[in-house]
Parts: sequence; structure tokens; C-alpha cells
Amino acid sequence: MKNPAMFRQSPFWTEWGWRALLPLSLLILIAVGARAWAEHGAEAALLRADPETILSSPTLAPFALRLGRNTFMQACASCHGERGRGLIARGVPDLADRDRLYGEGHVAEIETIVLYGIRSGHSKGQHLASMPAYATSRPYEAEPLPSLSPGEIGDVVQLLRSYEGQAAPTDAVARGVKVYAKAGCWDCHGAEGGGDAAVGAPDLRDRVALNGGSTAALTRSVSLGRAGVSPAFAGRLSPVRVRAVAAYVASLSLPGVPK
Amino acid sequence: MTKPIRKAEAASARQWTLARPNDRRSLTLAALGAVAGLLIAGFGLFTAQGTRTSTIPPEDVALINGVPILRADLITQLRLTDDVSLSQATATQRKAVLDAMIQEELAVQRGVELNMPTDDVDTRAALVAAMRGSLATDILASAPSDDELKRWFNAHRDHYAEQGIMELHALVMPGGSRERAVAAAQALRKHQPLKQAMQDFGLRSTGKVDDGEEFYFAAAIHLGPRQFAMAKRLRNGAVSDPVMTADGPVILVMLHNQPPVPQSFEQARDRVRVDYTRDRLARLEAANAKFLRDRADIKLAPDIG
Repeated sequence: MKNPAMFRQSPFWTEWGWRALLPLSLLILIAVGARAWAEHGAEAALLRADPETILSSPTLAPFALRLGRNTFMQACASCHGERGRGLIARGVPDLADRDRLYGEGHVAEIETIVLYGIRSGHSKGQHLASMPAYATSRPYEAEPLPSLSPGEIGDVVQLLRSYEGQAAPTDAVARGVKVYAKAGCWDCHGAEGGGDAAVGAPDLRDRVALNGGSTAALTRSVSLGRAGVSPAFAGRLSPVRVRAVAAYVASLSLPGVPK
Repeated sequence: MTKPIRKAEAASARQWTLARPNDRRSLTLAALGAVAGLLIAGFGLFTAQGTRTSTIPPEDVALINGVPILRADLITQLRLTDDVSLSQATATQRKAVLDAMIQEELAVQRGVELNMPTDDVDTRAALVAAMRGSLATDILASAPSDDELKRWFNAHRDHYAEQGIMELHALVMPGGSRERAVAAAQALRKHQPLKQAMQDFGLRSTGKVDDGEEFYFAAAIHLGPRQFAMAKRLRNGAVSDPVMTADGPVILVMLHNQPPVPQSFEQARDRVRVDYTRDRLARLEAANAKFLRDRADIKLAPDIG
């Protein structure tokens, strides 16, 4: 600005470019501010809403699903896959089916899992139970349970196969019922094998096997136990991202919700 | 020539020509820039997560002396206590649950004021457990890569095998001599029927391994280390030399011995992940303990230290 000659020699459009700079900057600033304010408003609305109403809200759902999908790709897809279909070989649950390991699929329940995790070390996380390893001298750390012999494991696996509608020898199934009672399986899976979503014990009769329903996979599960883990994202993801990803995950199993 | 130029310059100065320095314009632009900067900084400062302000952030339902109660926690509590969602809950239900949460927070804050973390054993135990839990949370938040897991698996291959299985008879000769037990073992090796040999040599089952197939760990418990070490080496159909015990010589007749089968990485993956994570946690705990000691001012009494 110290050398007016420089401007005097500048072409006409440069002079007008400089003149337009201030209003243009102001416009950009206002636009950015308005967008941030709108985004902030949408985030606040999402956080203040009842989580169970988000997916049916024409204003909240698109914002939640967009942000949720973005968050899912960053934080969840590495294990659950880009479409949330899980991986049986690694015991990663399919989030897009209607089979729930924990809870009933409420957005709020999913949000709690995202926040505090499963066997994550967080005291608010889900860690009430895990699958004992019956082919070891101490099947379960939390309480005394009997070890099982190879024959007993074989029998209870036949019982599980029969639960899933697969062919199984009746005498082995009958013995399996006794083993099921002796080993304390009923404590988590229920007397009829219906499972308990409060502790993450799968329904043994729904033909959805988290780690596969083959004899080998079932034998492996009963023999060496299972204890899947989901990390706690409290403090790692912002509250609005946690809420959004919970809504997105809930939407995966809902037909008709655009993903 | 100078007069017309000066006139033109004066006119253009009045019109805020960019070619001319203008103090008022400079100050206005600087002020605008400062205001914009302050607005952006203020927005960031007062809306950042964890910022305590006079307003309640949208993710919280209450601030108790600046400590937030999360909306998500209230919703979880409503589901647990009354099995209702936030919008299904009546105002009374919401108030009851929120009051209980506020009461808990106040009690916690009072406990801190009363120095409970120093004086109360249960509080101390809970704090220690929570601190360990937070380390585990940190570790579990970053999933190990396949390469890391494979390196661990390759370095600890011996740990990853299916349990071995054995089915055998353990026969004892109460009060029998070693020589007679050796004769009994030889007769069994020559395929004398088991029942016949038991009758001829006064053998009977020890009753410890008569349940059919057993995993190695169970056989080790039932047989004891000495007999189990011998049993592991027996092939299918083999008969052991007598082992002298307080009850008399014991002979092991192996029916079926299936040694542990090594697992592939994919078969062992989840166990590898658990073990790897445990190891990381142990190392992190050790490092954390060292860090805490290093930064702490610890003075020991001369007669103890």
C-alpha cells in the first residue's frame, strides 16, 4: 500500500479484484458461519432427540445417517466390514441381520455399546459373562464350572446341532441335555437355549451362529470358549458421532431406510 | 501537471481507492478481522466438548458442580429401571431417574471432599480397578494388525494347540511286588485279554481314569505328574512299565493317545488376540507403574528404606 504507482499501473481487473475482496471475504465468512451454526444446531437437535425417534424423523435421519456412515467407516468398518455384515471366521457379528446379541436393537442400546464397549475394560461396558472354555482345567474365571471330557463336549455339540435343526443322533442329544445342565450352560443360554440378550448370550435355536454352526466350530467354541470384544469410544468419538453411528447401525437392519 | 494529479488523488482517496493508503479503511479492516477471529475462537472455545459453560451442552442432561450427567446414561437408566425410551418416559419417571443420578453424583463429590479415596478401602480398590480398566480400554481401542498378531503367534506357537486326548486304563496291584507287576505288564503286551490279566495278577482299576476319553489336562490331574509323563509317551495299545506307588505297582494300558494338534493362525486367531492384548496390557501396566513412581515424591523411613 506504500506504493500507489504499483496500483496505478495495475490492470483494471486487478483493481476491481481488490475492491471485491472485502465483500467476498465477508460473504465467505458469513456462509461458513451460517453453515457451522446450522451444523451445530443439527448436532444439538440430534443429541437432544429421543434416540428411538431419529430414524423416523425426516429432518434428523438424513443428517444422522450421513454422519453415522462417515463415522462407521472410520471407527467400525475395519472389523464389521464396510456394509456391517461381520465375519463369521473371526466371530464378528453381522450388524445388518435382525439377530441381536445384546439388547433388542434400540438406538440407545447401540449407543451405550459404542460408548462403553463390550469387554472393553470400561466399567460401564458389557462384561457380565463370556463363553467358558470347557476343555481346560479352569473353564471360567468368574465362577467355578466343571471341565468337560471330549465325549461330553461331543454330546453337547450334538445337542446344539439339534437346536439348529441339523441332524444329530438322538442318544447323543439325550446325553447332551444332561451335559448342558451339568456344565451350567442354562445359566446364560436359558433352560431351552433361548439365550439372554442382557448378558450377550446368543440364542442357540435361531440358526444364526456367531462363529459358524459346523461341528468343528461348535466344538471349538465349547472347548476353548469365546469372548468377543468391542472397544469403548467414550472420549474418542464426539457425543454426536456416537449418537449418529448408533442410529446408522440400527438402520442397517431396517428395510427401507436409505443407507 | 502536479495539480491535476493531486486533485485526482484526493478524489480517489475519498472513494477508498486501493491505490491510496487510507487509515480509516485499514482500521476498519483490522477491526473486522479481529471481530471475525474472536467470533471463531469464541465459538470453538465455548462449544468444544468438555467445555463447562453456563448452558448445558446438548449431550448432557445436567451439570452438577460442573460435572456432566450424560443424556445417554439417563436414557440407559430409564431403559433399565422402567423399560421405556426417553420419549415414552413420563415426566415423573424422568425426574425420578435423574434425581437418583444427581444424588449419586453429589454423593461421589462429597466422598471426594471427605477424602474417601485415601481413607476408604473399597473406594481405593475401585479406583485401582478403574485405573487398570482405563489402560485396558486404551489398548482395546486400537485393534492390533494381522502382522502384529502373526508375529506373536509365530513366537508362541507352542501355546496354540488343541488339547491332547487320551483313553487308558490305570491298573494297580495292591501289595504286589515289582517283579509280579513286570510279569503282568508283559502278559498284557502279549495281548492277554485285560479281564483275564486282571484276574490272573490281582490287578484292579485305580478308578481315576475310567470315564472314557480325557483331555490331557484332566489326565494329568487324575494320574499325577509321574504317571502322566509316562502315559503321554505311550502309543495306542502300549502298556507301561510298572510305576511303584504307595498303593502298589501301577500299570498303564493306553487305548488311544492323540497328542495335541498344533493350530493354524486362523484357528487360533481369537486366542492369539486375547494373549497379545494381555501381554500389551501387562507391559503398559509396568510402564505406567514406573512412570508413576518416577514422577512421585516418595520418602521412605530410614529404618525401612
